[in-house]
Amino acid sequence: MSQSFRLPDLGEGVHEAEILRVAVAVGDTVVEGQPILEVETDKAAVEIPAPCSGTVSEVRVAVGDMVRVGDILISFNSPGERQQTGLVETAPAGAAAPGGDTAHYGPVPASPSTRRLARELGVDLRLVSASGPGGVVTRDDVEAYAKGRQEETPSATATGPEAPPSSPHAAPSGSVPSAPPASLPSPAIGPPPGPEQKQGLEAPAPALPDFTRWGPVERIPFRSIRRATAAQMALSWSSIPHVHCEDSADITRLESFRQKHKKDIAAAGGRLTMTVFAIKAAATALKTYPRFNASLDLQSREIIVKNSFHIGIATDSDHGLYVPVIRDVDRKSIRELAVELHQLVERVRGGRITREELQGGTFTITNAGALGGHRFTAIVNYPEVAILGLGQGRLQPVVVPGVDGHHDIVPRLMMPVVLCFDHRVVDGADAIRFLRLIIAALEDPEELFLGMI
Amino acid sequence: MVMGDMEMRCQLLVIGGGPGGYSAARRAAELGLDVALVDDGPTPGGNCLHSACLPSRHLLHLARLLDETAAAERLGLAFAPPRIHFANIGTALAERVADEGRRLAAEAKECGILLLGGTASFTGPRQVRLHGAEVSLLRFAKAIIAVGSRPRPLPGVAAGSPVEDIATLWRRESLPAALTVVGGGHIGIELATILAAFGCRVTLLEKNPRLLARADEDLVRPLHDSLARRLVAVRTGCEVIGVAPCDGGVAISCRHNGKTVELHDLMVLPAIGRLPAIDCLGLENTAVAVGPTGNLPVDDRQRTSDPDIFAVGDVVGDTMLAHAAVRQGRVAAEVAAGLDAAFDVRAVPRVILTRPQLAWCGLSEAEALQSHIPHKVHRLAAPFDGDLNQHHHGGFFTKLLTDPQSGRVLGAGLVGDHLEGHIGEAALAVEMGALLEDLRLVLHPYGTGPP
Repeated sequence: MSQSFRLPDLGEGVHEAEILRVAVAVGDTVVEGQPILEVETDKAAVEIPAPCSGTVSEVRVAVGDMVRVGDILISFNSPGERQQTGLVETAPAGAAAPGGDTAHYGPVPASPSTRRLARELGVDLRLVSASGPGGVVTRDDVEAYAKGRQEETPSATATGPEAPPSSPHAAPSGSVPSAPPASLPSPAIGPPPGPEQKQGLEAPAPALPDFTRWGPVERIPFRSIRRATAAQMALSWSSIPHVHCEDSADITRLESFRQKHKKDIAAAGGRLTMTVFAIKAAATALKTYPRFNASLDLQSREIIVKNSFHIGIATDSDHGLYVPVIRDVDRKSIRELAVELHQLVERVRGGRITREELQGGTFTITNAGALGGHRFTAIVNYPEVAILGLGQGRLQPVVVPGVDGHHDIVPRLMMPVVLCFDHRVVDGADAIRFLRLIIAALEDPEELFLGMI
Repeated sequence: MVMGDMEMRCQLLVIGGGPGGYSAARRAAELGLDVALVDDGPTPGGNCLHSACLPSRHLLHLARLLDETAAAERLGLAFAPPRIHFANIGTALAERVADEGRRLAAEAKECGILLLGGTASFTGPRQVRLHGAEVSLLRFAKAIIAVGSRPRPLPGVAAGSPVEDIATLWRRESLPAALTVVGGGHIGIELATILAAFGCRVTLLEKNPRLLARADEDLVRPLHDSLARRLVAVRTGCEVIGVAPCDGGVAISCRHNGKTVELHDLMVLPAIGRLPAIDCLGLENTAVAVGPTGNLPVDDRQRTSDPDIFAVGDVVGDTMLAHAAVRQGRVAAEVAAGLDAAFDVRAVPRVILTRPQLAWCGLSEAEALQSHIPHKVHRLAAPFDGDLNQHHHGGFFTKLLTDPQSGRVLGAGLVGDHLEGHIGEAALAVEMGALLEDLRLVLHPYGTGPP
């Protein structure tokens, strides 16, 4: 019995994936569960096990290919019995064809106009639940599916039906501290190029000159994480009116506290960084000003305030920018956070992060300090409301009140902080209060730890 | 630049002005593209207009008139025997072809399509050299190849053999008294039907074990029987391996049941299929990949392996039908203009205008069995009718394939007369995902069709 393995639905909003590794070749014998492919969705690598035991009869993909949900990837000749997820019997041997209770033979039934609508909306008919007789997908079904998808990404209404089909939880990515947001020309960065993308004569951006006229160039494929990041940044920058609010925190005392406890934490398997304290400070501020822990739902005209505190940490890696999420930071100790953050970062850098660990953030922190970055702005991690940026703490002369009404100039360790926020949801005054609360917590470790109680 | 070396640019170049190329050019012009259409015929229209579809439809109409007037005598309406002046028929047909061609040319000009007479060959991925045209070099952003097909040549034809070309058959002064049609496909059996109606003694040879190998066998059987009555002979499983002139006629060597036999006739008319006409196109200068039969494989957007070069119609080598080519042309034009179009047709209808007629669309029973697609076969006396028990003619029937679980109509095959309307209805059912019940619940008027 020959079976084709199709790219299964990898979770909400994921419609395509890039092939990272093909672990089998034609003629190989595989056993069920053995890894056969590694694919990368918007951000995370997923290993795909063999759905059955058998011999590989055809490999239709190569490393670097973009595949869509439902595409045939690999075919097997198996002695095998039932089909599983993603498996479709293509040519059952023997005379009698089975009833095929779950298999889809041939195309999804839908009228030509419905099929055209689905194509124009970028809807895969196989994913739409049918309401018509005999499993016919109707126009309403397609529209409802497209609308459901749009509700997950409200801005899709702003960018049109070709907005990236990922859900807001699917591809969180933080800001790029080193790149000033204004340098991201959002209209030029479209959705991931799928087969449905227009490839017409009227390109969205004017054609580029031939750069080789001025010297040799290298062309690097724009895909995978680079593309997902670009789409997320363009979406955020084009739909959120950003405001930046800058200040500095005197972290002299916090730094001595950090130095004192660094070793203990390291012994527990963690790394005590400024980010860990910032997470804690942000948790306190988010609880006090819950509008910063929210998302704007334009469809329903509501602000969705989230009652849990999941903080994403922008993390640089060889593969690109990731934003792993630490859940329920308000309920974790400094030690726990330091350990968990360290493990997450290690998993990102080792390429072992899962999709789940990249989803569901409510607020993001980006720390450019370790790289030596001082002042910068950031882009809100859509659909969140705000992002907190930390720069490198540097010793600076600070005027402090001295004895006898005089002032003294003393060296203090000053860390720049920046809060970038969605002015549709919160105002500047809220942002200053929010940021002052964070600064106060960072300047006064005791206050910070008091907030934990 | 020297005289005679005129260079031009266009957004979209269409090579070939047949149904596929012409509809592509029109659609693209409608969408505001700057279009050049290169065609080597006297007017646009391609083989379809000048030598294939239109002439054969025209002659099939006359053949039908001949048959029906002859049959009317049984009903008490007698006509004088027809006086057939084949040269006059050819002149009338030529006028009709020329009229239609002029209409297409005028319409193209009106749409702002630049018509260039001549042939094109690629000299680079984005430029062609034109031969026989006023412009010699044309650069384009996108191109649509719609060069069509040419008849597959009969093997082993000795020089001087009386072999007629189907493209020029109707331009003859008269028809031969007897003739052998080689090839029992769509074209061959329609030609045999026409020639027999005009009084020609026709022998039909087919290499495969049966006629119309693409159609279900049960659909073909009544037609085979009917042809066997009208023609001198219908020989299947008979492969022509050589043709040579012999006194006053032609000797045809065939392989039949493992033996070599020689047949004699006055003339041979080959109709053994068509080949994509890609020679001299210079495809080696492009990234366009060529398929195993010299065809140009395309995706559902009609893109070849070079995404800016499209192919439509016979050159794609799939259905080789004018109506499919028209749609493909429109799709290619829309994709070239940046629209989100695709060739997404599930039921390509085919009608064979013989007596009886055959029509089918969607999934055939043979395909379903070969690909193990679950299906149920329903046989009806008259097309789609649940209420009327119309008396049916010998051999007429309707076959519907449905999905056994959902009852959806997956395909249809019909044997009968006036099937153009019925097959359209069946195609609509397949495309809409209609149930068999839907088709049967539609009321069909009684009392239409021949007695």
